[in-house]
Amino acid sequence: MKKNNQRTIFSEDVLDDVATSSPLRSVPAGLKLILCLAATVIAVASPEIWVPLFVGITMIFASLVLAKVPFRLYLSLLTIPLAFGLSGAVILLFFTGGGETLVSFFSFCVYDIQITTDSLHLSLLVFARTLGGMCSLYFLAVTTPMTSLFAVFQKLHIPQEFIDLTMLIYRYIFVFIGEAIGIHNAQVIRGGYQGWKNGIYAFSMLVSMLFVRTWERGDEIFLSMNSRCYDGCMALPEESSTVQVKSYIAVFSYLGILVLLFAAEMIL
Amino acid sequence: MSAILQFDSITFSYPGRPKSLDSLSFQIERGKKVAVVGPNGAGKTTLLLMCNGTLVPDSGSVLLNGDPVSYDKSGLRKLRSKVGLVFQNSDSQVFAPSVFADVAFGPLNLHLSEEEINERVSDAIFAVGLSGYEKRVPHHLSGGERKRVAIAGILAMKPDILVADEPTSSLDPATSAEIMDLLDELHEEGTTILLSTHDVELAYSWADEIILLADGRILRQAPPEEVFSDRELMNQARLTSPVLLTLYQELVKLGVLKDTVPPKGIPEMTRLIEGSFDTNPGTIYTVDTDSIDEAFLSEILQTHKSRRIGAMGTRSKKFLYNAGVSPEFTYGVVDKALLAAMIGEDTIIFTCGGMVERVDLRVSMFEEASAASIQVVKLYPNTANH
Repeated sequence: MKKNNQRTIFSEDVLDDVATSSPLRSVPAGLKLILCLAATVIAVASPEIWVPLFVGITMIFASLVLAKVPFRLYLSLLTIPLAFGLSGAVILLFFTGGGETLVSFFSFCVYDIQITTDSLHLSLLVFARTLGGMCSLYFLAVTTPMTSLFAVFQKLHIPQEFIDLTMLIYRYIFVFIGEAIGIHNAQVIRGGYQGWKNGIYAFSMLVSMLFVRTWERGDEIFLSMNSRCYDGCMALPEESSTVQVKSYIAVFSYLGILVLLFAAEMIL
Repeated sequence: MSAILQFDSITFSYPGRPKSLDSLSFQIERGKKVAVVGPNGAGKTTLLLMCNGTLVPDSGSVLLNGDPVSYDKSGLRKLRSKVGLVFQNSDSQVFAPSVFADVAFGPLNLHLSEEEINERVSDAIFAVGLSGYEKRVPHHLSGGERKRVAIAGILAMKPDILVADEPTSSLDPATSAEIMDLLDELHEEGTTILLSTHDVELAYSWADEIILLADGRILRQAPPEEVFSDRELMNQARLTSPVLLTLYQELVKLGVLKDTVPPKGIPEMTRLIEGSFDTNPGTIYTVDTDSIDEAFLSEILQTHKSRRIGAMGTRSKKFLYNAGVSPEFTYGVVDKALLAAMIGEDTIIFTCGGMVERVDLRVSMFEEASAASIQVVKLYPNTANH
């Protein structure tokens, strides 16, 4: 068992907490969203590994140094996508071909299990793109609380119904995590999750119970919305951000550098 | 007085269940504090949901200001803007991702102007004492704070009658007392309040009138001391009498106390037991924080050196907080001041608006019940040196 006081991504609202107390919280959410999306698109579109690697490293730097995210937390966040990226890259390394053969292992039926120049390049590229994309997404996640994104969604003319639903879902994620923890504790103190079969059984009960609770809670919310004359309107959370020329300059010069690097890659 | 809300032989049953409410008739007068008291499953929540048209009676009618409620869309909107319902579970009531968004929900759906919405929201948030919490997310609030947000959400709709389902359930005692003080404050500003509870102690000391409910029927609608004195009725309703009242009744039986008006609170009881004062009673000073500044505050504190300090009302608490003064009494203030007065100590109560008069009212109620006299002196900026 891990220590309980250790903060990992599994504690219910740690990402949201980090974002809420982030020193970069007051930077306009729209600007951070542009930064994240543009950097991700450029990183993923790049034909060479250098731009995505650059994006990944700068974003890690920004998250750790500028946004002051604890190193251990960031590492634990990054473990999941990197594990996926790495396993994908390893498979690509052995099972794609083209170019010259670098190392050949053995033949299986008609397949040659070998590393070629192209497969090496492709697998490195996929890994670098994963790193670049995830790191820019995490930069957004650790600096921007969900509540400040709702107003941006509205400015982007995303349908109001969609935003309203997102807000309700966001609010109740935490309520249901609380419920799930409650049910889980109630099961554990009465000997649930002992042994594999028992564990499956207990888990199925937890899920079905959670479903029933969700349903009931949905009814209650509907009641309470109607009690306040629900007529299709929901207020957006009030967010104040300080518009600083400094941050605009920083973001756009960073994106400018990325575009230049991208262009350089395309030409060379 | 006029009835703001009236139930006229209401019968209701949930599909496939026995009757939850059985030919229920009662009326609530404007400006009253009414508690619906009953055991679990008596039909309290059903009754409250009927008040704002969430449930439609099988027979009988609900009347708002004398007019029968119509259950079409516009009728319901009208009803729900007048009758504000605070649910027992604030998690299902507070559904928006921030305090501001949640409180603004009601006014927004009443299609008010943006200015009016902002004004109402900031007023409501201020009234429940949560200024500065606008951007907080609900899952970072404590149970008491979430209850306050739920109440603020209803306040922002400016209802004529506030209906609260078990407002103090699952709150700690101090928070409960603060929520009840908040309801008193709202009542002072003219809102009629109807709440449900099975906490007889709370109902006894707080309510003007009790509606005793059991098995979907009204057993009695009367002032608290009448309802709770009736042992048979209490047994029938599976409730216990308030400790204070029981103690009083037992002491009367033993001949220790005279059979007079049952004590409403601890001060009356103490006075009853003591019989007369050995010491000179202390004085209760009241200060209206709306009409003073910090200079006068420090002047008061200078002149009245040995005294206790109480704060009542959100604005006054905030005033003292800003001035760096921490009051000793923040809930049940007048009762504590009365107790202090009986042992010869002075208390300064900082309060505001109509609550200044409430101190007088409570003290004169106490004086009447216990034939004592306690001086209440209001301090104005030009009387500080008296």
